[in-house]
Amino acid sequence: MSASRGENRVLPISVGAGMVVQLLSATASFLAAFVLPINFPGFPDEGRLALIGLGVFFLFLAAISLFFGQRLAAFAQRFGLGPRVLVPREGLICLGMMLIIAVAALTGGNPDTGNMLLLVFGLMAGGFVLNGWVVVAMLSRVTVSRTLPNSAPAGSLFTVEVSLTNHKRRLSSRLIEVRDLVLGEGVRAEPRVVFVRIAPGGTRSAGYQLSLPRRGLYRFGPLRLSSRFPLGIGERGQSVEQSAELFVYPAIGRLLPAWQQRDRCQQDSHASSTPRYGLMDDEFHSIREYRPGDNRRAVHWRSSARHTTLMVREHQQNRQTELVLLLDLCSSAAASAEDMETAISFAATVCVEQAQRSSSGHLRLLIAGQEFQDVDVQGAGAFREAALRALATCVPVPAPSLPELLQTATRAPSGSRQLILITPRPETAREALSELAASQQRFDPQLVARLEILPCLREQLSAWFIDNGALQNPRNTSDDAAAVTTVSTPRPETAA
Amino acid sequence: MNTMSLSASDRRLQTTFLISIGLLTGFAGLILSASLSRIFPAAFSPLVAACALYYVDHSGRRLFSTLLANLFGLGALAVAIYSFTDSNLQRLAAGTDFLVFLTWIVLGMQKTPRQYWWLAALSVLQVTTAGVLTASVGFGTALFLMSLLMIWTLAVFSLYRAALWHNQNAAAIAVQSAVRRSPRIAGRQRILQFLRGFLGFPVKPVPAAAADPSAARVLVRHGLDKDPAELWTGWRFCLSMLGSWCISVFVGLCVFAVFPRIWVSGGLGLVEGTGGGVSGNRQTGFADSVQLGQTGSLLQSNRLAFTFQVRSLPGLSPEPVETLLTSLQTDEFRLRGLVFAGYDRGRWIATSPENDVPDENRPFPQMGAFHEITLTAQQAHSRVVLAPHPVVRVTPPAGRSINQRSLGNMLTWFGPGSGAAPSGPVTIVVECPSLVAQPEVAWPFWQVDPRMPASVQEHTVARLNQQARKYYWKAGQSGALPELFELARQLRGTGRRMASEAACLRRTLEWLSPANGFRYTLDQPSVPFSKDPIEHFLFETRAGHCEYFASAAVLLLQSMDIPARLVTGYSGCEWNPEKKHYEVLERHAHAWGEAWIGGRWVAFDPTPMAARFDSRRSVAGRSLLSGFQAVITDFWKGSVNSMTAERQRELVAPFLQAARDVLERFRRQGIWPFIREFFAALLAPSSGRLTLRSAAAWILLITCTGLALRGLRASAGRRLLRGFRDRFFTGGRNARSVIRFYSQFCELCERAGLAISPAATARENAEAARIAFEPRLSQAGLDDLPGRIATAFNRVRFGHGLLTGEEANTLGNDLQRFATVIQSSIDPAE
Repeated sequence: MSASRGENRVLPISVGAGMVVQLLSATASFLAAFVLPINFPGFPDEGRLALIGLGVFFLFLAAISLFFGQRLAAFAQRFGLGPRVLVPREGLICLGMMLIIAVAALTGGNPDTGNMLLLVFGLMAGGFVLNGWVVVAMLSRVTVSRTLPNSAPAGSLFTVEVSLTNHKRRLSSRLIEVRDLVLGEGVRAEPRVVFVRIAPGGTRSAGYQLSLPRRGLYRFGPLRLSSRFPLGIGERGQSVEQSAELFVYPAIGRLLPAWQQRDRCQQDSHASSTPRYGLMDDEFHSIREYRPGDNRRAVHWRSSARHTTLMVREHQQNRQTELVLLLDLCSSAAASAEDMETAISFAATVCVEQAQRSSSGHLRLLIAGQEFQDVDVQGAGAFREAALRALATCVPVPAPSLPELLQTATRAPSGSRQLILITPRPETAREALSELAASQQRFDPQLVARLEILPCLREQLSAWFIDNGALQNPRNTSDDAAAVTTVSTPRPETAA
Repeated sequence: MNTMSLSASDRRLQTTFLISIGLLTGFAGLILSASLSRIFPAAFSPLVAACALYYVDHSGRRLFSTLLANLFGLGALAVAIYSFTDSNLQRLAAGTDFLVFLTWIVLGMQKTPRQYWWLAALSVLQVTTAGVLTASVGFGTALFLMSLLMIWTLAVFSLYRAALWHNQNAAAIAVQSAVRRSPRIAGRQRILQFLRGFLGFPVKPVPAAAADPSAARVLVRHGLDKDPAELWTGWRFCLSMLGSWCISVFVGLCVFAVFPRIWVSGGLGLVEGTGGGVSGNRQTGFADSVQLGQTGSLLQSNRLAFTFQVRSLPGLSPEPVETLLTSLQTDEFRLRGLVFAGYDRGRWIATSPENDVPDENRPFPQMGAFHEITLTAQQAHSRVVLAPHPVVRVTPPAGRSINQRSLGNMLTWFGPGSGAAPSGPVTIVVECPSLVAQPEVAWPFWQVDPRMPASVQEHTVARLNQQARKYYWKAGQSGALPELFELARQLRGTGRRMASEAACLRRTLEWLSPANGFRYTLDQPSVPFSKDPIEHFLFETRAGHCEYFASAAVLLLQSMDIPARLVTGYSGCEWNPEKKHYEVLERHAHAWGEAWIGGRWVAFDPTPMAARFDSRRSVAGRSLLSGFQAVITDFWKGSVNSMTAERQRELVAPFLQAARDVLERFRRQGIWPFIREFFAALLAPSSGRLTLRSAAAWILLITCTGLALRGLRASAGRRLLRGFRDRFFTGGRNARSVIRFYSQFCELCERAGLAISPAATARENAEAARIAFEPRLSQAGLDDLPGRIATAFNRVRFGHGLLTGEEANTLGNDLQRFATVIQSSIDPAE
């Protein structure tokens, strides 16, 4: 696109309109220093020297703009200074042709020919000036805003809406490109939206779709508005500081029936059964808007059609499920990074499922990673959000404190609480639990029986759930997908 | 490009764009073809563009693969290099052919936006090359049309790129690399991709993950917003493009007008002898070198060239021009201009024989004059003074002198400035003899004086013969104009059948007559590149205007060993009853010949007289379209073709002078008197109507004010307006005074011991003051003063109205008295 855009540059130079103007000013000064004494014999020598000095000054400015233009522009943007006009490759070619024509006109030795060539030069220059004026007019009095979703799961497409308002009273804005910048850990993307025409005083909205591969915190912005209309030989850019942050949650998968069966077995052994109603054995509670991660079978199509947005049935569970999920993020050789991500995704799926099924039960998430996080929030919805946010930003480290994790989990009264530990080091976990049981006098022996240890291996976890992100990502190879779906179901290990 | 995925609206846009780019390339080819006067290959560009539009762009076929296109390009380059070794014209022709072939090759390729850019650039280059070859009005018109087409095409191209980009993104989700590749790898891969593309192999995109396997992949689907009810190129778009073109042309002409003209002499040598190269003043077509056709372009113009009045001598009473014509024994009023002898490929060159003969300045004959002509040229010509012939006395403008040259009988500027013409309109007074009353007057001009002794006559005739043969007989034309030379040989005859010089002239004029198929036309003939224009006129078209007829006759006579010369000037005039003078217009320009026959110069005019008059009448009684054409022609010749550094100075001089005057007056008078005078002059236009000057001044003033206001921020503007209102409007001033009165009143009360509560209203404070100072106020008769102040304050404060100037003054006086009363109560000793 633009010769001065950073991504495609081979040489570290920046050809902006300012540089071109400075270069032309330098040329004009030198030319005037040469011409004026010829045309006006009384022209003073001091004036000629001043013109030469002016030309040198402009040349110096042009050199600075050429080599440090981008840094200066970034520096100016930090202080809220104005937009930047760029000359794209097509504009540079046009300028080169104009220069050749002008030189040919003056050196042709024939005034008639020279006048014709200068007329061609003038008409090309007219187009150039027109383009510069129009692109400036296109972007003047235009405001832009971006609407992000509250959150998004990794690996699934979500829409970011961009609205552009033209506050001009008479002139419409045409072909305005809005370029967003998305920055995350190891991720950089520049999604774009092009607005063909915004009527005077009008607002148009359009969206781009984005799928971010990794969970985490992503920064959006600044937005960059640019236009090359009409001739495409000059571009004006304008940065708008519309910064925003988006938590990309781990990919929410789908728990397989094996997990639900295991869950029921666990509950049968630890709690009394309750009447089951409705779609997921719960009572109907209300209809609310769809949130990423909701069960798609819960979509209430009639209400969705009425509200023109996806609505889901929310059910209230009568069972008092109590679950403590322990996540040991130990990045050891035994578990690859993908395994860790699968474990996080599995933990997120379990949290979402449990929060969905149990509105009044006690849910708790403990994460031992770079930071020790204890998510213990009352209310299923609040827990769900807090847990996903914690899972979005947790980072595996080589040796997180497993005893601390277990100690925190066992400190509270256990009751009928079910504990699940996801760890890449099950043996170490068992040893740590034994040591903990031996060191604590008031240790509940039932706790050991209720602690279920799930190895943090992708093959084993995929027996319990399907990684939704892996399925949705079209770039994943079919072999990988097959690997996800064909692994046999292992039996869960228990500390007992 | 896959057209199947485009929507109907997008497909319509695509068709519009493809037609536009086809028109652009085709039109550029036609312009080039017209300027080259050659059909192949440039004239075939529209056909090739249409074929490419149908077969390649519309049907999706591919005529040339990339490899084949590159090979063809190299072949075209080789042909161009081979032809480049020939003459200058052949070099230029080879270059233009190369451009045309490149255009064809690109048209035959599968196109991406880059190829379309190439087509636009090649079109511009073709038009630029055409500008080297021609300088006609037609080219100028085509250039402006081309500018419109270019702006339209590029604007539609911008839309088309957006639509194409959106469709490509809608078809597949774009995958962006999260990790930037190192510049070195990118550069190397780019070179490899270029080589692969050049050789025609498919260019493989570099996978993003190949650079860094751990790179995360972001899936992006870009967005595009377009109102589906709105066309891509609706009427709003068309109008905006038309407006853009107008602005672009205006700016372009400004750039053209101010661009410094420094013609580097010698040049690159590429374009010698190709264009209409005329040094000096081209506007009137009378310079030392004239291209065939220049007079023809003058003949289509109704522009004023000369005005004159005729008076009889010695009484100086006005007389009709017919009297003068009778005296000069001519049918038309003629202004004689330059004399040309040398001819080379469509260009007449004044070889300046007078300059080669330094002692040839001829003094004006000492004889009586019968007519005085006051002749005003709208613009002086480069070297020659156009005047009736013969003349016995010329009175030049102050500070100038005019000489008469003996050999060409031309009047030329002489003296300061080395013969350079004065700028602007020039008035000279010419005195003419009567050939009827003074037959001997012709002798100094046309023949040898018979009153001279025989030996002197012989010597003079021999000398004149020698000069005529030296300067006006070109023996070397048989090689350059073989067909013309052969015709001349046939007309003169050989051996005993060889005709006399007078018979040769008669035969030549007979051969060029309408009876022989020759006709008069103002249309510019299209001459093949390899053909001489005069031979083309004589043997193929047999149609042309006076320049062609006179040139052909002169060249034929020269080829018959008869010295002959071409004379340019004006022939004819019109009476302007409103201004009471005669006018010579550009369309009266004319060319005729003179031949040295029998020891004297004989003037002859081979142009068909009746046809010339008909043509002139048709030019005079133009239709609206023809009038528009004349305006364009005048503009072209006056403002474009003859643009020189001098002309630029002339254009700028009035503005500079006006600026200097304004500064001088400003310096002398000061700012306020100057502005007052300026506005007085502006508001009182002369003769009771709005003059152009005052209208322009008003527009300038309003524009400057608007720009100034626009430049200010709204708040600053409001402050400025408020300040202006307070400063200049009495209402605002009074309002401010009342507020000040009230604050003074409060201060006085507090000084006198009365506490003024800020929480109380003005009326409550006034009532408190009235009660507190009642005795003293009663003594002074100011019982109602506090109430009046409070009322006025409230009136202004709550916007019910403003005080008049009289009310404000009364209030001020009362407050002054109140202050005196209060002061006396504070200090009883006073």
